[in-house]
Amino acid sequence: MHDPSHPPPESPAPLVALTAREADRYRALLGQKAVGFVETDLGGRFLLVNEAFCRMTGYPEAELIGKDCHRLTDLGDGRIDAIARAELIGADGTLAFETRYARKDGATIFVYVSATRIAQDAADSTILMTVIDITEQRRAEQIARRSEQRYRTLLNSLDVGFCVIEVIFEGADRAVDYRFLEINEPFERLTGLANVKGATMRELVPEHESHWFEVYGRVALTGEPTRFEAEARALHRWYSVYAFRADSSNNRQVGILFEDISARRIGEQRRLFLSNLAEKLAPLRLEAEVVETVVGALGRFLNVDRCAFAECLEAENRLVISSDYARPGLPSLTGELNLFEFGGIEWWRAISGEGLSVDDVALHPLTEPHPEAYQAIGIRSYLAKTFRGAGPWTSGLVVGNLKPRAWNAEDMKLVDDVLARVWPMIERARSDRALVEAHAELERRVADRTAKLRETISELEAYSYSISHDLRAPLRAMQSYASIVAEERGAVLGDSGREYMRRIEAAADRMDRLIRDLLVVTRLSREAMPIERIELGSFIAGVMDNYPGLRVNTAQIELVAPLGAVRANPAALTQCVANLLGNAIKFVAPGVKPHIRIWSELSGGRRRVFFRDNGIGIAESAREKIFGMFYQTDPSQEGTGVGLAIVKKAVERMGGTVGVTDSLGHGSTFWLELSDAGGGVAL
Amino acid sequence: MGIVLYGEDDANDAFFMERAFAKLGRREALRIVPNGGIAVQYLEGAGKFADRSQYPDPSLLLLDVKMPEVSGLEALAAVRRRVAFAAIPVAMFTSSTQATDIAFCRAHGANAYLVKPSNAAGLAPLVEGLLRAIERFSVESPRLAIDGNLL
Repeated sequence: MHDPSHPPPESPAPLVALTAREADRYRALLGQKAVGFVETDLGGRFLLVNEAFCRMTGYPEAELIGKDCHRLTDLGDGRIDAIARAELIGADGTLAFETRYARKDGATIFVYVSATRIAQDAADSTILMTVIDITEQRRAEQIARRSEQRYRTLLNSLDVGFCVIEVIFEGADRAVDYRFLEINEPFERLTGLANVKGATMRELVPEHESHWFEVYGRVALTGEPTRFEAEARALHRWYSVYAFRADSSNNRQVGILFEDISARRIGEQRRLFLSNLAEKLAPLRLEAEVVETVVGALGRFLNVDRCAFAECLEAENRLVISSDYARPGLPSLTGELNLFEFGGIEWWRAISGEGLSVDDVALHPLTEPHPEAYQAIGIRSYLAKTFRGAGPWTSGLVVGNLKPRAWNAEDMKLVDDVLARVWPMIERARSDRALVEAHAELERRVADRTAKLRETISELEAYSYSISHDLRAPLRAMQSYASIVAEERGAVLGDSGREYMRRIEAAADRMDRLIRDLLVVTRLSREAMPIERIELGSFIAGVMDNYPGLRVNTAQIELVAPLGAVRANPAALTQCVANLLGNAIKFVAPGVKPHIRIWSELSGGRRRVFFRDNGIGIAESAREKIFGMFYQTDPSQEGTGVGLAIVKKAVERMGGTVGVTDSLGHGSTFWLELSDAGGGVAL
Repeated sequence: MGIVLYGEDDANDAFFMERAFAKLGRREALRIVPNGGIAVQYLEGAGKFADRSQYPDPSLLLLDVKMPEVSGLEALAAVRRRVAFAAIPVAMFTSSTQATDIAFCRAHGANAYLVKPSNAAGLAPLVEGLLRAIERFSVESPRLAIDGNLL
């Protein structure tokens, strides 16, 4: 009965049909402060709005009644309203939906609308709607949604892996596996695992360490979050992990935040390795020791099958492996190989430049054409880096594996670091070795010469020793038996026999003295002759005391003070003084008591000591010869002819000179000249 | 007065020494062994030398330097290594005055270094001097007081 095209009546007509009680209730509903109440016709024109709805939309009642409700919803989601109405008309008569309204002031509000068609008759139907402002809730939801989105963005963009897992227990509390429920984007990159959602860790990585399962199981059971660092060997990575129970209502779900700390851990391990290596190398001086230590340590640290120190001479196509480490059970590769069998010139340039990293020799373009060489040594993957020092050789380090291996930049850097540290040591060792070799060569030459000298000396020693002992023993026997025969059988021998015996004795004695003198000459020529300051007065007096033949009662010896001091060797000077005095006493005319006068003169730092005697004198012609060996002025005199040779030898060894001067017909004057020792105390 | 133990490998020198002792009427006071090793065995009382009635403790050890097997120098060193023989005077008796030998003997505690006289006629006075020196010998002044002692 209501023409929809007509304006609506001033008061809500449908209420007329209500009982008074119903009308009260209806008014109470309309008076609700928080719930908007609207009645429209099927065309959507407002027939009735309550105060709460007006407040909600910001329109006074007058501006709404008779207006199409699209005025509100067109700004918002009018389409939904339209569908809703269409459905309402055709369906059982109720629908709830959410939509947006544009308030009069332009603001948007979200509303929850519950609509009911309240008449069976299509022509007379109206729609009753309760409208609840849900703007606040929607905003909160939107914020929550946005923050979750931000959170997701964060999780996906950070270098942090995230996953939610469900721990799988065997029995009550033994965690044996876990299933991935959710992961973030970086997960795949950080683990190297793809398509994990729904899969279990054991399925993906059967050899994953059991401690991982235990830790997550504990977190799930206790609800206590945990933070730890561990290595996942099968993934070749180290992780820093924070694990927490993901859902308080479900004690099997664990959230895991994790970070790949392999670089840091590896960095730490490498730093430690390098410092340990440096410590090990510090005391080593020999190249071979340094190299052996390096290849062993590096090979074990990188867990490779081989590590070798090689020297290359590209001009001669030579590759010499001087020292290598091989995993126990593998043969050493030390020896010489052909350099270019392992690659061409490009390959060599790569190695001697940046270094070469070959994950698989069968696949690398530089090594792939040379399979035989690698098969021969059993190497499938390797890293090589060289160092160029002085000389034509290039030295290098090679680490290799029997199987392919994905080397990373860190591996190459380590080889590089090791070389950088070791190379200076090797160079030092080489220069040390050169020095040592030069030194050793010198030592060897000195030793050679010393040995030769020692040989000569010991020959001489053996010779003089033999003369002393072996030659003199028979002479002693001759002399002694001759004297025994004369003593015991003198009566039988008669005068001539005794005379012959005496001559045997005398000859043997002479020969014995000759031998002794020769020994003295030998020693004077050979023995070390340390020079010291010698006070002549007391020294000569001492010599006289020690030689019975020079005693005062035999001869008169006069020392003219001060005699001063000279630089001389006591033993040699003793020989000189004893011989000169001995001669002076010996060579006197029969019946003449020897008289000897000793004085000294200083001239230009040299001190000349004179020994003047009253002896038979020396013919002018003989003066040149008397200092020669075996020269005798008078062969009938006892003496060996060696005494003055001894004096000459001894004085010369002390840097002095010796001579004889004419004493004007009465005896001779011998002198010896030595360095003056100055500051002498007079006798 | 004990005996003199003489280490000497040269039969002539041994004979001359016996003769010198005989001349002094001290024939019984001399025991001669042919090298340093046997001299040490004698001192130790090893083997047959255990019989001290036959081989009495010597009051002087006289050692030739150059002897086969164990030389006088080695015997000297061996004797001086043993505390038990510390008080026995040792006189070296040799034909050389090699400085190294003299230094060795001094360093190893010899009490005299004597040069063999070139004529055995000189032996008797030398032995007389030795025997006198032994009587005056004491460990406090270990150098034997005898003419020609090069130590």
